[in-house]
Amino acid sequence: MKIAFCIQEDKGKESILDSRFGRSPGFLIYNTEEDEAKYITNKQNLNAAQGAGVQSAQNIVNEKVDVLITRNCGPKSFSILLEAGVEVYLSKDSSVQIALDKFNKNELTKSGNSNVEGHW
Amino acid sequence: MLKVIGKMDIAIASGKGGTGKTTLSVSLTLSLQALTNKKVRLLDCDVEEPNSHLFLSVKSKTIEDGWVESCEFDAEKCTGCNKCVEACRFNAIAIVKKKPIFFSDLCHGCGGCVLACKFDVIKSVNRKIGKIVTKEGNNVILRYGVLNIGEIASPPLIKQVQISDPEIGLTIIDSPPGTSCSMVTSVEKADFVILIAESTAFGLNDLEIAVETVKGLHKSFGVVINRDGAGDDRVEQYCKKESIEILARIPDSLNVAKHYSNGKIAWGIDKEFTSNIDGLATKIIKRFSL
Repeated sequence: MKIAFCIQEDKGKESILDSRFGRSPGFLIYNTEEDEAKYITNKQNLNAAQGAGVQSAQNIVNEKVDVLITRNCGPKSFSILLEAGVEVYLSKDSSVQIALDKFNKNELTKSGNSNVEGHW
Repeated sequence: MLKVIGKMDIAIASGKGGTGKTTLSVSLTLSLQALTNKKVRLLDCDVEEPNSHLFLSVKSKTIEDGWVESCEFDAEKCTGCNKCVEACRFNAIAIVKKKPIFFSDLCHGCGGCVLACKFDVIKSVNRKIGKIVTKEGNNVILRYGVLNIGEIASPPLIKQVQISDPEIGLTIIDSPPGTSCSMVTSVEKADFVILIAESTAFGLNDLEIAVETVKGLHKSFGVVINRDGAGDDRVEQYCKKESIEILARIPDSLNVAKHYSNGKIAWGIDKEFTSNIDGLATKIIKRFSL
């Protein structure tokens, strides 16, 4: 299973979670079977005039991610992730490791909808 | 720059909102009409908040739909090649499971995706985003756009307000505030731009930005100081330093403001105001041989 996290900069599982999805500086994609983490940059979306969430969701979908762990997710991103079958879990935790531990213990809530408005 | 509106087009703009664009646009239109005795057209390009019509007693004539180009996808034909996603500068398209997801509110109608698609999936369609109202009376034509609430891109509607009519000798363009796309679209076809400003800290700050914008568009322009005497002399000093022509100074007047709040333009009512506007109109008529 591949789990994606919105992170500020790549420090492996110690990476700090970013509060945004669309304009998150990058994503850490953790492969649970191989216990490997891969970093993909989302830099091109930081300065997008609009539709950053759409492009970020597309990036996540292209990486064939199964689960996204994020602090927030807007309506356009969510609709794309839903269509692609990516499950969205909300976490207010500080680091990837803490959020991952909670996810493994089924302590994170699966989101059935976007939790913030567009341009949050 | 392509010239398509009328014979002579003068845009009235400002960086800051509420500095008197509509007051000047409407009164200058009336004054120029009276002094030349020719038909004058006023285009209110502030499609998010048009208000020139509140001050002009011209009877209603026509209402047209305002459109933006958008696109429609034939999802059956889509192969998921992703070319449209790469082509879209506005992030309006995503491809999931080889099928397109399209966000029409993000689309600017550039047609890039239509060109990029090799499988004839996407076609250009018109999407209604507002309306255009044209009114005429007393030798004045007023045309303005009303953007639907929730729409984010005003330039397509502004371009439809600026319909070409080479028969019209003089067109006044009332621009929206600010210096973003909507202001640039409003003034970019004008032959001359009048920037109106109040001499305050905010007024000068935003005037400077507006000056940079019209300079970037290679426009001839001048400044009108509104509510002169209410602020200080910083706009005066700035114009002197930058060698910018001050076309007129309209004194601060409680009487003008009172008329405005009663839905009336002081031109033709307030003697001092009328004479100042007529002075500016005369300057324009002479300069451009109208």
